[in-house]
Amino acid sequence: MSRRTVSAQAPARAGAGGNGPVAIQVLDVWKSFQAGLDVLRGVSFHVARGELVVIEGPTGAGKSTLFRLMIGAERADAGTVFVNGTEISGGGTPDLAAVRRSMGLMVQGMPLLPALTVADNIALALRAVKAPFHDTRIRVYEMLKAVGMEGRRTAYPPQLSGGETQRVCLARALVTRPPIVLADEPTALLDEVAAREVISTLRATHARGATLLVATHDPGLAGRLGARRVILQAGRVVVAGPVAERA
Amino acid sequence: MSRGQRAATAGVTLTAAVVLTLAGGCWLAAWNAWTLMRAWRADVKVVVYLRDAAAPEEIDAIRAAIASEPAVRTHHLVTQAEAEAEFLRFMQLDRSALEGLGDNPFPASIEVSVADTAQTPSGMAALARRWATLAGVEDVRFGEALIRDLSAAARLVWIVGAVIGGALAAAVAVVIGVMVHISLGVRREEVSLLRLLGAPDGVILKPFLLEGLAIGTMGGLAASAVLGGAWLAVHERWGSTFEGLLAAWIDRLVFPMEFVPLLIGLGAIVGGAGSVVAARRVRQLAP
Repeated sequence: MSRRTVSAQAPARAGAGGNGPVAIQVLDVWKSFQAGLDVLRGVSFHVARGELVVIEGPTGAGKSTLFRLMIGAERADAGTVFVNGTEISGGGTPDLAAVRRSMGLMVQGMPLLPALTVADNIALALRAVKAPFHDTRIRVYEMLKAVGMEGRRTAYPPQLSGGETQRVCLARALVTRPPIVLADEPTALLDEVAAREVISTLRATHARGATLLVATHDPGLAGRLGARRVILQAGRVVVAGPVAERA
Repeated sequence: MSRGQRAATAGVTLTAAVVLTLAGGCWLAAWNAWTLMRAWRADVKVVVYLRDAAAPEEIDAIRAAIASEPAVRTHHLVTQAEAEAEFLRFMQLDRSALEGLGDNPFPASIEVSVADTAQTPSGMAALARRWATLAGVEDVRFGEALIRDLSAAARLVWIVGAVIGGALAAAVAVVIGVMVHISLGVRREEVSLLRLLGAPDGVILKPFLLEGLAIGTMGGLAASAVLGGAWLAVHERWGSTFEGLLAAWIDRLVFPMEFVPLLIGLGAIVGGAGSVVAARRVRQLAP
């Protein structure tokens, strides 16, 4: 596999497995944090608009790094990432903020702020997209209800369990009703009941037309979501499979 | 906002209030000194001395010429007898003190007060030159040195007041800027998070800019209250305690009401400016 320099070639239309224009396109992306130790090695795949894709792989496969490239928080050493046609991986994207506003993010490096309540943490995402103030309370409550956390809206993050924190992060990602959602390990740390609630929320989000990209180390999640699988191993895509049967 | 942040904000607000009070005090002092000097300068008259032999028609012509000048505010004929009486009153002497001097030695004169706009050394000199050429005029005096000194002193007072007050106002901007800078560092995590959520710069910076603006405004309000209170105390309370020149000077002290919105506005402007400069740091903080 050749290592290319960062380029800004135009994104392709969706191919096999996609059913419309491309929402996210990853083209031969390379990334390393240490010389000689590549985290991503020529990763290529795409996600069509309205599609539900699960990136599956063990810890250290490069899933979180891939997500951070997709939100412009890291730069690719080579290759390109397009989000809704905007090249985002090379740095210097003119309207990176607008691209980010089109995405709901539940990724590493986006913790809840410990000084704010659960409700205020979720409202922060609405503040970022300049949602009308009078809508904020209702939308936050609806979102908390959707992830089963309405009773904890006045709690502070240090008072939450790992699973509760996961669900609040998901609520913050979805509260703006974004057209693209990136969720990194949304069911990690959750018990079976909470995981079912989160999966149901993700399905509902997909059902309203959002493009969903979920990263997980759980080999059963793609099946439970009825999603197309992209399997990542040691920084390489080893399988880009068809839509999995819903379990 | 944590307890520590609240304490820091209160401390900076207090500092801004104290420094703005000092700045406002400088400007108020400069304003009062300038007003006082203008009043003194307004008291300076051009005196047109008449020849002893000046005929009544000549005096009428001189008065008409003086009255025709747009810069003339009032003019008043002082006869020889009135001049002599004023001299005796001023020197606290009686008529016998002038015995032996023969006829009344004091010349008749016309005392002219001029409008503010002409109360400059050059303006008054121009009038004096014109009137000195009139028939029946012996001499024209207007205290040129005094006018020049008062004008220079008024200018100096303004410059010193503006420089010191300006430097203090700049210090307020720096103090507020440093506080916003530290605040940005403390809330680094929130800023980074908002960046990742796609918040535009305006949304991220708004609370910091509002904080600087609010601190400056509150500082201006507090400074206005302190200066207004100080003026009331000096004017109303101590004005009646003292006598003579000091009482007269205290009586002339003014606290223009325009000062209140000006000081509050200045506080808001320096607070906003300080936070705008400090907020540039946000670009270094965010991913």
